Amino acid sequence: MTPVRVSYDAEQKRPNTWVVKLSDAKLYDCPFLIASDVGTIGIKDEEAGPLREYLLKGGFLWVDDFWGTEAWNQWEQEIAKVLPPEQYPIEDISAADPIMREMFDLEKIPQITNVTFWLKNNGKTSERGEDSAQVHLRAIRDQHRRIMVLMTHNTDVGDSFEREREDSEYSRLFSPPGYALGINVLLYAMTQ
Amino acid sequence: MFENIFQALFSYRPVVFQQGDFRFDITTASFVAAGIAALIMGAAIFTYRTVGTNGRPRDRFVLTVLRMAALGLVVFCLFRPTLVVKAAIPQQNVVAVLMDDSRSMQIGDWDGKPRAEFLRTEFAGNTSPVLKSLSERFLVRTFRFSSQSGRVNSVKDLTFGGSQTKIGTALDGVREELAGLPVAGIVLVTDGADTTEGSLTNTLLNLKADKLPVFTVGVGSAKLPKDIQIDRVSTPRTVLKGASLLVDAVITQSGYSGQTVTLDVEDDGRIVGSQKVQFPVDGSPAAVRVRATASTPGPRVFTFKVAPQQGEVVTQNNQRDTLVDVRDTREKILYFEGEPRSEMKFIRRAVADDKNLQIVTLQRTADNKFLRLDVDTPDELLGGFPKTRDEMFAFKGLILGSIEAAAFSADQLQMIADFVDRRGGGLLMLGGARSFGEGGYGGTPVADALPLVIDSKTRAADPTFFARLKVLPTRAGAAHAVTQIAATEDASAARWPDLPQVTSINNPLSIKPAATVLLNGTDERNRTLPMLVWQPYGRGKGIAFLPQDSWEWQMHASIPLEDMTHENLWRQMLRWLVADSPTPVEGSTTVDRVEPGEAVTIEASVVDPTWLDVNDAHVMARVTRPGGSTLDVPLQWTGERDGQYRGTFVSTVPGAYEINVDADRNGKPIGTSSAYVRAGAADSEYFDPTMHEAPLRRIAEETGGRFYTTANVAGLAEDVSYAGRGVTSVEERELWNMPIILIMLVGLVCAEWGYRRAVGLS
Repeated sequence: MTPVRVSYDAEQKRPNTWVVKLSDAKLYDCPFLIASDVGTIGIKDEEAGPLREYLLKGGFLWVDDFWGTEAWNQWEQEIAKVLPPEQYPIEDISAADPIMREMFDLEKIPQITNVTFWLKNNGKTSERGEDSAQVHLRAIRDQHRRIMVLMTHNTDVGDSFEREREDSEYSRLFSPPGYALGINVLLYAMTQ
Repeated sequence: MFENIFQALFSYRPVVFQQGDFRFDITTASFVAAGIAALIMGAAIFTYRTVGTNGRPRDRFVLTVLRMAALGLVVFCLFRPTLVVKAAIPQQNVVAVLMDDSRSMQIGDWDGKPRAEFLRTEFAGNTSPVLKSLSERFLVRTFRFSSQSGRVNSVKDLTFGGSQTKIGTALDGVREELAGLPVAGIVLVTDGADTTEGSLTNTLLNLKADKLPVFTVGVGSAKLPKDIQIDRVSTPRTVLKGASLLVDAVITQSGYSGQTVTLDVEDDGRIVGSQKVQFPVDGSPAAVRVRATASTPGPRVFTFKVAPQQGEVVTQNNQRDTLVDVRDTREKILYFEGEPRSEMKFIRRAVADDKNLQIVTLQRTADNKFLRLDVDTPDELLGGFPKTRDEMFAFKGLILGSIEAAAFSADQLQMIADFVDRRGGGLLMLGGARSFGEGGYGGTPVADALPLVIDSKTRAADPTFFARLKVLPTRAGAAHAVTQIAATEDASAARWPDLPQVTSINNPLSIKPAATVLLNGTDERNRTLPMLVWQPYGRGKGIAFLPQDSWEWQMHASIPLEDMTHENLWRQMLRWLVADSPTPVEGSTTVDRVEPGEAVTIEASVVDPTWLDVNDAHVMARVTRPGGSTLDVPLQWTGERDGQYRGTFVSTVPGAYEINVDADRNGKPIGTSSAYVRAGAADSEYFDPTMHEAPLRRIAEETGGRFYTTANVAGLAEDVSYAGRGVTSVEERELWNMPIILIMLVGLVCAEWGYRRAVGLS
């Protein structure tokens, strides 16, 4: 789908991934980070400093796939260790934000659930019921108003890329908006 | 001293022998006397041949020669040797005395007194020795000269405040003023430090044609015992606001060998740069590189100065001013990137705070789909990369990221080459999977503009090369502003080895002959590869930057958050990219400083949006004087060169004159440009302030005059008399009675007597 060269594992027949710890110096070799299920994250003191420096130097963190108030509170509490909210508040991203227009014009953020939940629950998308009904697109910005941390709360955008082959209807419904957002985020992270 | 001895021995000054015709004034009595002398000589030879048998043949030979020499000298005198000279008739001829009235005559190197004091002593009035002796022989007319020349009554009228010395103009003026008069010669009294750049050749040809000898008197010493002079500073005439200037200065000195001084750079009294320099041996110039920041926009006078040192004779040449137009403009650069990659993001971030750079980014997101960033209008670059020259040439710089040549049409590739060659833009190609040889640029016009050789047979291909490199400046790079990544030159040199490795995936290419390598990379196998190379191409420049991930110099774990290395490098790189890129209308003045009242020549070059020269434009320069009043000066096409216009105005009061040049064609604006010129007393009088003997000798020798120093000027008037110019009479000067003749005669006789005593023949 893209002419961009992607590091690929020929034996596993899938793109290479690289898991790094927040305290690892290799973190700085990855200008773009994706973290999933950050509702259970625990950031140690010795990890908070390097992550803050990483973000302020120009690194980009996209956190995805965390659902409900409890998960949000946990994330909000942990990221506050890295970027104190009084200096780096969490903001909602409006539909007019450039990240919504990088390549595809997005009016709203889709709620994308994991395919298993979707199949078992007759097409429902909110994994925590009423507590996760509303999708949130939020960000922490630097002093130039550039997004350092992007949060897609109450949705699992990553599943629209990872599990599109498991069900054609799921793919038809969720992959296009998921890809659109993913590409916009990627372009934003690699240009701004 | 030599001349005094000469005159004592030969009765006359050397000039008499140089100018006069030698002849013998032979009479019948001379022949009779010569015959008697010949008889005596014959008798002497006979006597020496027969005298005493105990004399050795060698002794007899020596004695014979001495006797013959003495008698020969007598015979020489009997033939009455005479010099026939043409001498100026007293009070029938004019002598012009040109006196240097410039500021350099205040330098105190004439026996510890100002040079002007020599004029006051020797040329002040009838009691002054030189002027008195001239006045006894000639009608003396006195002139002053510096930047202008004219008649004066006496030395008292001189102020020694002239800010320039124009010897050629002064000589031309006097020659014209004395035309038709009987002129015996021109006396030029000066230190010889001509401040004009014009040649004296025409002046000397005219003087020779009019047979006017110039007698030059050099005032001052040829070498100052203690002096420091800022010889040269090289600054651009225009820079962008905030630019970090790396200025080369050359300092000469005498008497301070081994001493360390500080070269300061001041912008309106505020020190903006400083560099210590240790002087080499006397006479050897010290080259200094000093960094200064141009932070205030507008016409700025940068002063480069070394504090006066103890014992310096001339302190005015310890500083040199340059006028720099610091422009607060926003230079537009187009960055075309073929794939999303971190390099582009970090380059954009590095210069985000630079208000004088606008990086218009065109990011290809899919085939024929582009993300446009920082465009001025919604329609700008809507169709992707520019398709017309006027669209392309609106930018001053072009960055090609990882974008293959096949992404461009043939005309676009030619247009990129034209952008550099004709428009004078800067092209920067970045290392990446789709650039250089891997991008298929071999054989394209773009390859011609690049400083690396890409084989025309090379086809676009996936990268097969990988190197992890440590990057360091080359010798040329260390002296280049673009590699200055820290606050000082030393700090910068120390910073490079600490930077983390970067990678390159482009197959190494050879360097073009005209290219300069500024950064080299050394990989883990100790191979050295060029990382930053540039070459001039036409009016512009082509730059190759090979690392694909210079963002590591921002993000790497070893780089502190507050480190500005990456920002500094890219800010300087992109400012350099557009540094010399012209605008459609480029106005300038032929000099950046004039004397108040002097004419200023404005020149402008005008091109259309496709950078073709325009000869039918309406070009007007609006001059804003220091007081705020304005003057419109129309500029006319010169006819000498396409697109070149010229006009002049006369400066009035001292100060900075702002010149705004506007050009339009058929009522449609082409562009505007500004320039500045200063009117004020120049300080050039104090540079190279020694007495310049060579040009004064040349003037004298080529015109038939003579060069004097203050030590031997006493015989000047007599020499002018015998120059053979003006109204002259023929005079004979007998030579037989010269003291040298008597001394030689006595010497020969005594030598003969002494020799005979020594060998026992007496």
